[in-house]
Amino acid sequence: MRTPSVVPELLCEYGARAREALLAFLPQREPRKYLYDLLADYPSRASRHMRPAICIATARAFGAPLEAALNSAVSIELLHNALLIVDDIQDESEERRGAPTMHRATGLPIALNVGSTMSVLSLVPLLGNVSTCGPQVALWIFERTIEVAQQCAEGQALELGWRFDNRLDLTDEDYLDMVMRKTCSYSTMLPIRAGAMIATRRREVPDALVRFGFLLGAAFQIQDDLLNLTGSHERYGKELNGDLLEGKRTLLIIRLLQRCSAQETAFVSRFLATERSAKKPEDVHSLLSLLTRYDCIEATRCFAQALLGAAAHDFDQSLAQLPPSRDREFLRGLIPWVIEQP
Amino acid sequence: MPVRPALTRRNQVEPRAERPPAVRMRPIRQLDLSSAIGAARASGPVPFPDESLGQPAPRPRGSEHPVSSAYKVFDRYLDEGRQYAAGHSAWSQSLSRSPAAPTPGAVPGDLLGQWDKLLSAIDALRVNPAAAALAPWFELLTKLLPTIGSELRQTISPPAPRASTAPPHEDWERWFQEHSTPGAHKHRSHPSQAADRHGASVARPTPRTGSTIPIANLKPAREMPGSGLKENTPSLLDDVFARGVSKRNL
Repeated sequence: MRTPSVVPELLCEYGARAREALLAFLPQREPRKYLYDLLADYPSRASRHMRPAICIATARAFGAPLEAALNSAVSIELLHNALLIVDDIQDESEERRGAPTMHRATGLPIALNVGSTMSVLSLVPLLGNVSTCGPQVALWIFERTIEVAQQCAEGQALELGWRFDNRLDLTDEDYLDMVMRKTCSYSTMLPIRAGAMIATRRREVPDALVRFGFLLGAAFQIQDDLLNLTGSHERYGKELNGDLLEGKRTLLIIRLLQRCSAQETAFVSRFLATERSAKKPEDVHSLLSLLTRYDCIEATRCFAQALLGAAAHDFDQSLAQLPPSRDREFLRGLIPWVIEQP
Repeated sequence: MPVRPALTRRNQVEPRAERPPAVRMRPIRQLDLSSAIGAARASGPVPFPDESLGQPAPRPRGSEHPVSSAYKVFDRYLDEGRQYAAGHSAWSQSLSRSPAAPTPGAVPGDLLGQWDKLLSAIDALRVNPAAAALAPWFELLTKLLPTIGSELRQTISPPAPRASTAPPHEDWERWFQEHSTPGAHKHRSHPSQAADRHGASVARPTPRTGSTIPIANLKPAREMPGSGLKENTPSLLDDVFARGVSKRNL
């Protein structure tokens, strides 16, 4: 199965609409230099706009007009960019979308202020849902968004805490739980839930539909972890091997710790506990060699493929029942796109 | 239009010396979905859930398979979501109503539930093609209902008693109104400063209340370059408010 052309087409089309609406939403007032111009920085950089596109496509697949989903799509994209600014600080990342991270360009205090401001502003577009979707749906999406923002913080807390405690005993389930909170909750599950709710005005969204979002999002994150080691710098837009330097507990590392010897475990433990700035390039190289020797990369890739197989099943249980449309094909096409994404 | 940040103090990424090479991975350009599904089914073992039959969804057994792990995590997520909603609801009710001593004049507890049912019914009718002729009424209701709902919730959860040391809300309102009157700002102060006016030696700074130009003296915006306002009349606030709302109401 290959990515159908409708995926890049709608990512481009819906992404442009969401970005245009987002930039129009941002306040145009002082202090521009230290706050409001910076709010537009990350959203103005080249990105795939997967999250707003999923929200709009789901709403349209269920029969709603694009405009009905635009408030929610903008809100989700704002929340995403706010989380990126804060994540980059916490991870000491250097690059984001092919340019220096916010805190590298502006310094830590200003970047923190921009990130927290954007978090709060991300809720404001949801108030517009009262007039476009009715008060009941607007309140439901508002509540879910707050719940999801809390889950993101929980996922981030888990990941940071594992690094702080230098945990080596993590399981696949631990990883999936963290990824569900940190990534899937707002990247795929909320856009799908909100899109379906906007169109159907129901109180509940079928489990299979939400689970499709979870499986898709988890595979997306695993693939992102893989690209961090195996992608090209130009296409990835971030520094390669950044996850290793930051000591992240990716599925690759968890797999390695399940397979390597006691002596190698001691090396991995020392490496992960070392501050990023003190990590030596030769140690990074040694760790990459271990990942290759124990076939962790291939095993992780198979893991993602299995999740996508289950996602395809859940698609058939839910979205496939809808009338044929470009939006439905887009959502189905995201399954191979996760693997083949540029 | 993309807006570039003005701050570019360190806008160049310094190349890292001795950056380790990326791992070479076998190129995967095509996802074999049938084998992925097959792998999941074979090692699950999946029977995937068949919710369309209305039966309890069978779950994969064993903890080794990725799909099995994912399903466990997702099931926990569903349980957690239900607990979260129940906990929040209980907390809200504990703040707004006390079963032992209901607030005098409070609306019966089930009224809020009836209100939610009414909203659901109206939402359902709004999207019903058969009710298209009533669309203007639904639009009107959609605008009115949040106001009514707000009133209802205020009745159910009346404002907390005011702290005795804080100035009354009404006094602040009057104070702002007085200071919006041409020339009034020079002669009036907030009630909380009354003691100072009657003999206290400590001088307090006059609070800022915005423009000190009497409204009657303001000229149309075309004579005030850069103001961005069409006219400076008593409808000024309405105009600004309307523009603010339309900007946010995407």
